[in-house]
Amino acid sequence: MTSAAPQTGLAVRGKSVSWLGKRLAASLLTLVLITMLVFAATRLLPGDMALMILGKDATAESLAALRAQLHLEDPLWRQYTAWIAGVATGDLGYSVISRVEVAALLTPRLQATLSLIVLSLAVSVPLALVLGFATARREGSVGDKLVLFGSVAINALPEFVLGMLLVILLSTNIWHLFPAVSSLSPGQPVLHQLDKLVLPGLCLVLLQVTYLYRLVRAAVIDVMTSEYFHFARLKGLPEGLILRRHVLPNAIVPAVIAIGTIFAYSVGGMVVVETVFSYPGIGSALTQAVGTRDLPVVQAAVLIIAVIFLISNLVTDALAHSITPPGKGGQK
Amino acid sequence: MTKDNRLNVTRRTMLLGTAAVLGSAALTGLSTGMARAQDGDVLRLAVTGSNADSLDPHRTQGQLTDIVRFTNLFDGLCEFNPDTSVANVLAESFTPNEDATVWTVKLVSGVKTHAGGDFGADDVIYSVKRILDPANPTKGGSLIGFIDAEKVEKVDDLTIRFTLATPYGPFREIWANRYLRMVTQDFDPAAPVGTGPFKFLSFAPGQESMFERFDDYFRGKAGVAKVQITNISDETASINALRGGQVDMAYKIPFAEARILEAEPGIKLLNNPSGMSLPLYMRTDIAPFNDVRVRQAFRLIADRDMMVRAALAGYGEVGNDMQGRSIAPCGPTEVEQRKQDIEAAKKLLEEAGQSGLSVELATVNGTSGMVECAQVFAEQAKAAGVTVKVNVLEEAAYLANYGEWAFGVDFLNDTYLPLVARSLVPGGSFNNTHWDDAEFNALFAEASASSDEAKRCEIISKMRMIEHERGGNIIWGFANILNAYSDRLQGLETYVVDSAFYHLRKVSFV
Repeated sequence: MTSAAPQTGLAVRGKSVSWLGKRLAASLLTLVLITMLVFAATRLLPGDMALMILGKDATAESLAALRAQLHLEDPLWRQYTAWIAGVATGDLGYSVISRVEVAALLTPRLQATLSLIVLSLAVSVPLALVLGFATARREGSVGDKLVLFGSVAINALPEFVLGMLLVILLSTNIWHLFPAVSSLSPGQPVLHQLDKLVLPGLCLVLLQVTYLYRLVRAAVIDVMTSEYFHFARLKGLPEGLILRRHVLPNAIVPAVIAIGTIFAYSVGGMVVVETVFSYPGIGSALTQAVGTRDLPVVQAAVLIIAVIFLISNLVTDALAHSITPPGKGGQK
Repeated sequence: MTKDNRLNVTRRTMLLGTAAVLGSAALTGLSTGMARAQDGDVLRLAVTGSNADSLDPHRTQGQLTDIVRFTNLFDGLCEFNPDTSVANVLAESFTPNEDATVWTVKLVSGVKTHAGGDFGADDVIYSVKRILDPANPTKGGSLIGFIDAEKVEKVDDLTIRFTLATPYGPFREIWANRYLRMVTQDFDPAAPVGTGPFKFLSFAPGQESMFERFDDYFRGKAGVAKVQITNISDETASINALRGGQVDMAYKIPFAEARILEAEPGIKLLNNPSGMSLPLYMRTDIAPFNDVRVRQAFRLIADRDMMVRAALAGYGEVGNDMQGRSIAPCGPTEVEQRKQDIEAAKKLLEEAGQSGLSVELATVNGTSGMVECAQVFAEQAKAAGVTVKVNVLEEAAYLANYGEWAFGVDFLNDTYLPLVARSLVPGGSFNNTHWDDAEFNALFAEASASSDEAKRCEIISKMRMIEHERGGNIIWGFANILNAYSDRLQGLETYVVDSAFYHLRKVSFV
């Protein structure tokens, strides 16, 4: 196929497949590099896993025995390959601190994190779209300015301040509506404990909406000042049709990319929210494991977060790639 | 016009949506409120723990959640009273021979286990051997290392005889330690059977555990039907849980929050005059602290009142460079209180040739006050021309060099003789000062061998005077341990060594 040849449907698909292939290969390479980096970094941390397990009372003999048992004296490359071999067969190893399988420890954590993120996005995405459209169409009005000011103010608050404000307002001091602490009861599905998700969820929704809606608003305003929008109006097309046909497709792209970024970032990055509400997510599991030098858990948690990050980026890019209107550099 | 209409609809929908969200939220809130009122007989605690949690009273890392769990599931031969004196629990009597090398322990009869059996001598022997198991070193094992596991014999179903290699006087007292709880034979940590006031229902490490009242408890039924222990690592979160009515008792209350909590309606503060000291330890075996003049100079630098006020927010007591806030049943040791004297400190440093000394002080964000006291001391040292560089380390990094730091902060809480065994004589795993004082060691051996309480008190007094005179610790103060609880509860007492959290059978709803 030469560049001058007209693009057939097949060629476009072929291009997309090779694009996807390249992206997959790059992601895999990134993943391998991440595992190596994490492995090296955990080994560079000051402190000793054996000492953290046995505590201040440990004798030199018991420390040496435990180190040998944990293969801490083996060369780094051997420890790494042993771990990778396990990961390849789906075995993430044992948590040295809890003495349970890493997978058993992290699965409920991951479920908790994903439930919270998905639920919060389910609320904030439609809300951001509605708010973005509504304010863009009234750009410069008092209402628009108020919402904009409020969103910037909320976004400027550190997460823990926002979290604490919500706790004070809705849980401990003003109204006693929701549990202040979101530690989930084990053995019960997350969805049966929705009351505990309200405050951390609300905190995330506020942070997400205030950011997302501004993207939508900016994109809508951008479209509304474009020539094709004015042309469509002059043609006398109904407002709803213009919105659906012209504004939405253009305004949704930055929002989709942002949603993907928020999702990917939140998996490991909502540690602060998890801490404020004592919510048992994967981010706080990771920070705890770093503190106790539970290296198998650290490695597995970072790996999981990285995989989710890469997958979500890939999906977002593919999605954005396919919905970008031709006029903005997308395919026909 | 149409445009405006549409916009109105959108806005209206939005408002409606918001109202619906808030309304359903309020309903959920109401329903949890109602659930709260119904399960009034479940005592809910917020305690700090970790993923290392277990139900094993012996092979534990000693985090609070573990301790709270096993002290309520299992009994010891003895336990601490609110002061440091000791009461018998499973043991009825301890009888030594002439030189305190053979101890005969008689058990209380009629004690039932959670499985319905009778608790007896075989269970005690099993527990002691388990604690001393060389293949699984335990915290309790280092406390009763003087016992030879092979020389623990059953005399009859309720009588055990311990034959010791060397005399041990405070034999009865040692059994009050929380790490020496009694389990039943063939103990399985996954389905723990003990004799305690509560029995096991469920347990998820690092999250939550549930116990229920043991109706056949030999000292009378506990005051509540169930106990729920929730792990909450963040101090603020546990206070919020208490404020919001999600828990009834919260263990970890930072000093900075205490005054605010004290003023809050519905919440009470439990201000335990604990024996916990936060010593600044100086290594007596290397320069510059191998010179006693430098150590005394550093002790004179400390403005102890200021340190208690700044590092402990006033929730504590000034120390006098001697361990043991209370050494009950012994009386106080009569030594003049050491006070700040910068001039004297400067003079001592000059005599030692260490004027303008510069040292690093290692500390860790462990228990409240450990970082603050180091910072306050560093500030005070400037007046004496001493530069103290405070090195705040992460726990793992601090522990990696534990016992090696020349100058550091630690925390210790125990009764006097066990504390000396662990931290003030050679071989003690907490002997950070590397102190090895012949006279002190001899006195300690003598006190350990004596089963005569009055004589023991006299020796302890001498030991503390030596600490004050030439020891390696700046014991500037003792920190209170603060807990908070809902005013719907009664029966909570303050403890010096133990905690109301270890005696939940005494707690009930008003």
